Amino acid sequence: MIKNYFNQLIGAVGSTWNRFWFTSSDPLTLCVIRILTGIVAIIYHLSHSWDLTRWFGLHGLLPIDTVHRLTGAANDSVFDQQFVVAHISLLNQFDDVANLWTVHIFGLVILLAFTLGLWTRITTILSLTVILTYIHRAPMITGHVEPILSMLLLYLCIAPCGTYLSLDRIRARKKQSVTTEIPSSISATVSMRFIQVHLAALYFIMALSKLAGDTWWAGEAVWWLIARSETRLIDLTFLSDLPAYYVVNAWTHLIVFFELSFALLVWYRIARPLLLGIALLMWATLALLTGALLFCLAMMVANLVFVQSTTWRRYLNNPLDSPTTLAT
Amino acid sequence: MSSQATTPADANSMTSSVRGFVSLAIFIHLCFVFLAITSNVEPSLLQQRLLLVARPYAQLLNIDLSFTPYHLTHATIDDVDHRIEVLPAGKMSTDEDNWVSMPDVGWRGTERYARYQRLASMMAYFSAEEDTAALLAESICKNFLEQSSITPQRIRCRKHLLQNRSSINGLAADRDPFAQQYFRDVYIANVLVGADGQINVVPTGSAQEMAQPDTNRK
Repeated sequence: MIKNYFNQLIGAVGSTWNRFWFTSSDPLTLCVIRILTGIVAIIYHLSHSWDLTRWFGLHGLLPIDTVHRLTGAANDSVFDQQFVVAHISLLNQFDDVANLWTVHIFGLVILLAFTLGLWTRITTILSLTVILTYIHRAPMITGHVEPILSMLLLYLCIAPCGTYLSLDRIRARKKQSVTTEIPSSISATVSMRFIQVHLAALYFIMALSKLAGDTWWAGEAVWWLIARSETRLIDLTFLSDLPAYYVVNAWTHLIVFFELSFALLVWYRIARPLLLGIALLMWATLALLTGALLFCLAMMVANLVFVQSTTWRRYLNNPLDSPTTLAT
Repeated sequence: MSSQATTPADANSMTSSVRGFVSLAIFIHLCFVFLAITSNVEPSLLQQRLLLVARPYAQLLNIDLSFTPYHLTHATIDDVDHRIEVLPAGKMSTDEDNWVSMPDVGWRGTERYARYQRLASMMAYFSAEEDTAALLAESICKNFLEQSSITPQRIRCRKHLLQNRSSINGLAADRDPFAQQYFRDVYIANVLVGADGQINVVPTGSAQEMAQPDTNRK
């Protein structure tokens, strides 16, 4: 009887696993995410431009040997050697202005090509490399946007994310090599599922971590974000008095409740539109509250992985890629 | 996964050995992801041990974050902003306007601005470790000297305390979030600049408050 149960369990888990990961799907959602991720990546990349040499140049704020000591890569590191380390960066090789700018501009060109969908298979991998190069050059000054950005780029490497809305598509059309069928692929599913699972896990851990802090239980956390006068983009200190302060309490509780709910309920198709709508609202308000604009934008982009390709088709009526053109 | 598992038609387009290999790769990757994410706040000894195995992979792909909390903030009263300030040679330290502050760039909603804030937070975090704080302070002072042509005579890292609710409605002096009463020095050092441009910092030990480990950092 027990053997029977385990046989059934393994069978059920196996078939669910196969259905979840290996059913082929339309990559349109990932193509949209490619463009939006590319835009976030370009903004992130350009944000280094003004201070490239101030950070990474000769006599920069974070010389390579200082970074190595802080990350554990140096022998006299501040961390235990066990902490070490996979911070490999092309920028570790240079500190002169000319080379830094060469790498920077080359990186920008790659990100532009990726966003426009040119040689997408290659430029996706190169884009990930570009972003990781900056992250690993000085991981101690990275924030919250980097893990989201690198996650999206990593999983897009798996997918055929240049199938639609791309220069690759136009080039293929010119060569008359575009099929009339809507292409679907298992790699698109794997990529999409990775992003979904990873994102849900992030939401879950965000919520659980918040619950480790008393201020989230006490409904005060949003107040302490409002009070950070060097980061907030809008001044909401007028909410300090009752009854307006109840808004702060409710806002705090809703953030935790939503993050927990998202991780658990987003898998139900009926709940998705509501959750995605709330997510966009939540990240927009948090952007104003925390000043972490690019992080909130990246989270919004990542959330879109739960939008089905049929929904995108309704809104993206580009003759180049319209489903009617493809299906006929 | 299982030979008994039913497979969708698409999955049949892959041979079972390929599917098995891909499944294994997915499973291992997700294990590393969950391990790295769940270890971000307060890893157990087991998690720390397992992370040693996963770290080369997870850190390379920026999944295992050493310096950034996934949860954004605990939003406690200790989750505060910091700034680094340098006093140019020949200026009086008592005049607050003489201190050159960092972040000193652009709009606060940008990553560019945030990077300087993170540097200041990191300096505050390491301020209790004299050698590490000195290492950072020397790099920063060298940068001021070589790239901004400012010869530093003193460097400090300041913690910007948060206003509580009662302060907002209190005295006029309490209402200004940038009033001096809201700043505490967590690190302060005199800077010695040699003739060859060599920088040495000597902590004065007069910081008003030793740095509390910032819960925002690991």
